[in-house]
Amino acid sequence: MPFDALSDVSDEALLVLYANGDPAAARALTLRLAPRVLAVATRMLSDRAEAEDVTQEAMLRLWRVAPDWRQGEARVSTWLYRVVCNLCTDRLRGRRRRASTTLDDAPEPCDAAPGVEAAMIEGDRMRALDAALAALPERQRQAVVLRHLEGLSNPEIAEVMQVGVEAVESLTARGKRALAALLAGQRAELGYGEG
Amino acid sequence: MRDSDLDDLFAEARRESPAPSADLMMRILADAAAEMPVQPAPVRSVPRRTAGARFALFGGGGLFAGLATATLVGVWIGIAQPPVAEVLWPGTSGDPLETMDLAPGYELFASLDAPVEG
Repeated sequence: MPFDALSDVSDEALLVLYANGDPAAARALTLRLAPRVLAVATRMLSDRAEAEDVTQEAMLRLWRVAPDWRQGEARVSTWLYRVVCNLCTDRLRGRRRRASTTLDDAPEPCDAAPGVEAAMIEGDRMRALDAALAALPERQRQAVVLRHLEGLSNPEIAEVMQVGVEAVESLTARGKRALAALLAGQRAELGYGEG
Repeated sequence: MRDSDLDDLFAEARRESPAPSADLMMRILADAAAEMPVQPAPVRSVPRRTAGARFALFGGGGLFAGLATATLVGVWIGIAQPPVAEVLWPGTSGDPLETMDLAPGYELFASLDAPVEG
């Protein structure tokens, strides 16, 4: 099937086509979903190489679940975001374990203020944002990334994070406040006008 | 930092989302091909027929050998114009039609014309 013919096909239908042996469906799904998965993983992990590994692993799990996919039960993108978040959580916990075994009294990863400041001095907004996101507690970071960078709705985030919508609202609100606090007083360095 | 500044920062981050490298896309597609539950049907090429297979369609090489022999014999007969009867039935000579009685003698029926005595 030509790739153009698949641009209007839903993720779920593409997954069924893939399960039935259509390589064009795999290409369409990859082009559609891999960039979104990579974006979340990069924001969550602040490490491009690790984010690429997570993206490949998440997509691999999608290929493997294709024959058993239950149509109508969940959206493919929601399922994939959940997988990515879980994989990122595993990676972050692994980092913490390694850090605690190599350093006595290792500092909490939330203590990223020096990184934020350094990035701000360079005037690099994106690096400043990444550093500030890395300083957030893990669940707040997930909620902020999914809500404000990926544009998911609160009910979708609730499904991804497997919590209630109220919990999502709370996480995103607290995350946003924490980001504002981390970046406070640095508006000029980030190129925002005074006032 | 104001909320609006943060929203600007988010908008900028959305525009600058990291794009997957070609290498990553290839790795993902390679996984997809390896994990595909139903392998795509290979494009079947029409097998090339050997000369023997083509001959077999018409009855095999023996038939063609016979046809070739008959053709050669026909050409030879046409060129050499041998006395065919002598070639095919050695010992005969002359035109066999000369000795063949195509119209039997009416004498066989002459007795029928005689009056019956009784």
